Amino acid sequence: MPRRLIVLVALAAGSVLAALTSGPPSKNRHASEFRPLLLRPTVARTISKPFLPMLIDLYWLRSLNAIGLSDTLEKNRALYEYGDVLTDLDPRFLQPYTFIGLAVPFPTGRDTWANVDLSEKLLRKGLQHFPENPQLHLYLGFNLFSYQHRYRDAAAVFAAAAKLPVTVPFAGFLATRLLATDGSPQEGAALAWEMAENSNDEVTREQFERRARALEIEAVLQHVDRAALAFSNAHGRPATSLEELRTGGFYDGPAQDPSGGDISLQPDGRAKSTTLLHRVQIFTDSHPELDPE
Amino acid sequence: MSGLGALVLNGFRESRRNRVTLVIFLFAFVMIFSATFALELTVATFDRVMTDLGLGVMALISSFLAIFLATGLIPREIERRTIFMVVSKPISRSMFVVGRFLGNMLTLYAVLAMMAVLFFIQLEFGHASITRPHVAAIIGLAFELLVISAFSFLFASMSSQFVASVVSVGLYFLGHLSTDLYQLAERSTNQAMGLFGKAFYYLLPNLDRLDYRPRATYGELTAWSEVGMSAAHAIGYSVVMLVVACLLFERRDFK
Repeated sequence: MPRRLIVLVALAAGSVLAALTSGPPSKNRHASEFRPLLLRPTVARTISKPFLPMLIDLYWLRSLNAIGLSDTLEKNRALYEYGDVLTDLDPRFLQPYTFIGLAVPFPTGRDTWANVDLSEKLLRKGLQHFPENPQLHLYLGFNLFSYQHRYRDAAAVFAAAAKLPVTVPFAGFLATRLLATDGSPQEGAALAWEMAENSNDEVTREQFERRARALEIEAVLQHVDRAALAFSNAHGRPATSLEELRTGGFYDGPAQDPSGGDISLQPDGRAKSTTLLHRVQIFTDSHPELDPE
Repeated sequence: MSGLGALVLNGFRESRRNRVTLVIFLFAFVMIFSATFALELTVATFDRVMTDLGLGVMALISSFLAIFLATGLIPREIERRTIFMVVSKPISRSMFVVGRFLGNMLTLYAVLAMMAVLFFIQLEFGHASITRPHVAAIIGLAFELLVISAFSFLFASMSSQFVASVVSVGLYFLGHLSTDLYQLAERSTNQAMGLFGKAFYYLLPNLDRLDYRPRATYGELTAWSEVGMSAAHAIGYSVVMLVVACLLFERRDFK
């Protein structure tokens, strides 16, 4: 009798203890609601070694499906998980870098994007394995300058793309323009001269030389821009002429650009030259006045 | 030799009659053709998906079929007491094991050949070309099946079907990870562990060596000399497994 009682008590006590301490699995604060259930690459590689390519393709099909269904920031972030696992399992699989790398950024407003860092991470990972792939260079460059406005970094990527065996004709020109937008037209000019020197094609060489000269003018104009901005900050109104900047002590440079064009100020206070039809910069929403159209 | 021939054919018939063979073959048929539907879900990687799914399904199904057929043949004979009818004939126990093994291989290769034909038909329908890497992957798989069957026969010759199946499945996965084991042993700072790991690597079947499926994914050519060397290794390993299986079976008490 006491033995039966002990058993019953133990059973009841154990059940109560288990019931009181049980509950749903704790939620990972960092995990997304849409986080896909994917095996960790090391686990997947171990348990599916004999048919790993098939597992990779199944993940690939799932990720393509997820791309089609992703319409929120969270779901787009989950795409990165797919891309990361897929490329860990098979670093030589090009498409996850390109397709998922492009699909991960999500618009959160006018000219603002989320998940761009994840996209950059995946594209850079792809470049480690495909250093000569022009597509990856262009996607990464686009990400950096269009989504993140990191013009200098984007310029470095486009400059690298311009030197690839498979030529990307506009990459070098875009790199020089991005450097100018970043406030380094001299570096852009140096790059353009370098590209001109290394070019075997006469027409391309001439185009780069023209771009280099334009960037040298752009450098002077940016110098005037900075002086005009300082004047505007000091006087509360834009300067009307170059002479006004000079007499105010804001500008002590030449009145002509390196190609002999006359420098003047526009009504908005920005510099222009008679030898440079359009400024060598990127036209963005923050600088609509730069758009020649 | 005619006795061996009869055993081989009998083993082939036995395996063919096994419902598992038919069910698995039908499953393979469905799986291989399901790759056609999978193509509807993908973009830009059609050849890759067809190759991976086709070869993956073939490998998965034929490997498990090899294990379950090979581990079932001898224990079933013992369980049904039909083994006494065979051993009472003027044939040795070793010949019985070899005959059953060859009959089993005949079944597996017939199934593999049919799956390969289905796979090639599917590639043709999918406008993908049949390439040398595809052929090399299937040849590699054929020798992989030889090794899997050999070690499964070894375990079946000394234990029950259940134990033999479990151990064989484990060895199948270990065989594919043996290269990783060697690399781990090389990285080990403990000399004893390193030696043990390397010894274990040489003891285990190196199934990874026969796996040319990842190369087929990227259309990478494998030199025929490499295929030949790997096949020779597989044959050698299988012969050793089979000899040990025969030795153990010779001493086995059926009571």
